[in-house]
Amino acid sequence: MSDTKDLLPLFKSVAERVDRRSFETVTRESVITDLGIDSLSMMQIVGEMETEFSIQIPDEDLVEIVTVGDLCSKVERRVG
Amino acid sequence: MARRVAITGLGAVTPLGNDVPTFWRRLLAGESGVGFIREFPIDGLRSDVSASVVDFDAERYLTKKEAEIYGRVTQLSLAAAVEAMDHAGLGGLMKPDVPGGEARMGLGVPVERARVGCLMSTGQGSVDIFEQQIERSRERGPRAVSPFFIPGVMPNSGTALVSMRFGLMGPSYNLASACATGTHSIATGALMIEAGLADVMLVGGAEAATRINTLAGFGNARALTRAKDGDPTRSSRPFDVDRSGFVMGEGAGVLVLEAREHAEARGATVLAEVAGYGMSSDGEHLTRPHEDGLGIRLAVEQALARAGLAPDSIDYVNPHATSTPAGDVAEIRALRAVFGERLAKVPLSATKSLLGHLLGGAGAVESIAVVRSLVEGAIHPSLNVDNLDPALGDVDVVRGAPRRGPLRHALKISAGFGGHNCALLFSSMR
Repeated sequence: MSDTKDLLPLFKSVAERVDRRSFETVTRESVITDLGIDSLSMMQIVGEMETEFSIQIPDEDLVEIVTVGDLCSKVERRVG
Repeated sequence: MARRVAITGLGAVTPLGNDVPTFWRRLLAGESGVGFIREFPIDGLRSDVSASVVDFDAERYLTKKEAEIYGRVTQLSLAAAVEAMDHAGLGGLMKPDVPGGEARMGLGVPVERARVGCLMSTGQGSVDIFEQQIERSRERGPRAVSPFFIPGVMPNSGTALVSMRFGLMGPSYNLASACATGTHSIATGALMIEAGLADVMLVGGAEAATRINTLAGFGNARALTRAKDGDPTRSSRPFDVDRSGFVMGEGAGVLVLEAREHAEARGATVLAEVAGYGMSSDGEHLTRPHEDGLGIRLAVEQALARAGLAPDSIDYVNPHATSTPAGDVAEIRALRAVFGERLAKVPLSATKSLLGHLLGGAGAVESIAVVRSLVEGAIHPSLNVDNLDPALGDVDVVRGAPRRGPLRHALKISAGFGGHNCALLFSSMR
């Protein structure tokens, strides 16, 4: 996987659009539940990213996602 | 002996104002909340008028995200509930971390949350969210449908949001009986307090379904009217000989019902009582009212019996009066069967003549008008009764100016598509 495909900025913009608030200080280490993103919002963010890249992340993979970086990696792997 | 049911708070968002004081002042002044439809093109529709809530500030009550999830009907419901809870002195139940919550911190929680319930109902639900997500699916495929679609569109989203906002842990659900929804919610809430299921019930109804396709549906059923002689404010005209249908409106009304002894124990002001209620069905036709208003008559008789009052005690009737040709006649026949010749001396006033038809919200908002009447001893005038329909016989419709004088007992009547009828009997504290 190359580092040129860092999806953190995309995550921030999608999360901002979905939850209608700022995620400026978020890093890849940020724990998603600590950000106040609930399970439905999380599914909305995943859905937006899937649509963006025309990919599908299996539900089994979603349970492993704890941090923002975990989600970005799942997407990066499929896009890369 | 059944527990007595007091009313300790009122809240409303209506085409005549976004709080109860404004709504009531403009109602008494005989102002109309009806205007031309401006929200979307009306080509091909059979109606050109509606009664809309204006200048509603959703972000006073909801985060940006919530305003996206919840349909307009749910937003109006919450706003009315917040006003009613503040009015009842129960605003301190609001969670601290929601819009408006911080300002209410420290107000105290004078009730047990498990004894406070909510019946905040809507007849049609979030039609706007339904339209939006179906459009999204059509454009981008089913995977683009929001995970918040179902909780956003479900008709109980209003009662859910209100319960969550105030941390209510008593019974809560949505009931639907079309245009009698708000009225049935009040009656059912009163029943639950009498039965001891709760000490406090937030009850009410709301609707915000004025969209192209709902207007088409009601219009194609020939239920809607149009601007009269180019004037939208003259379109809603219950009891007038030229009435030709109702005007779709939007809004929300909420009442805080409370066991009388519970209200007194915490020092709350009791505005009026729900002394009786009656519920019945026409059991006959999906949309057409029973010709003689038999179902309405049954509901009114039950309400009187439950309150232990004779028809002679009633000082004011706020009828369903939608302004449809058949509906108004059937209702007056029902009232004549109950009141006999004395009907000619019972003041009637049709709130829908000023407000349009708030559908699932109508019974609740109109009940608030009745409660204000009992508190102040004033009945708002009916609009547009230029020529009283002779088919109605001798009736006393309040016109021109408010009718002032002490009122002891008043009736509110509602009837919904499906043949659902509900009557409420309110008593003043005089």
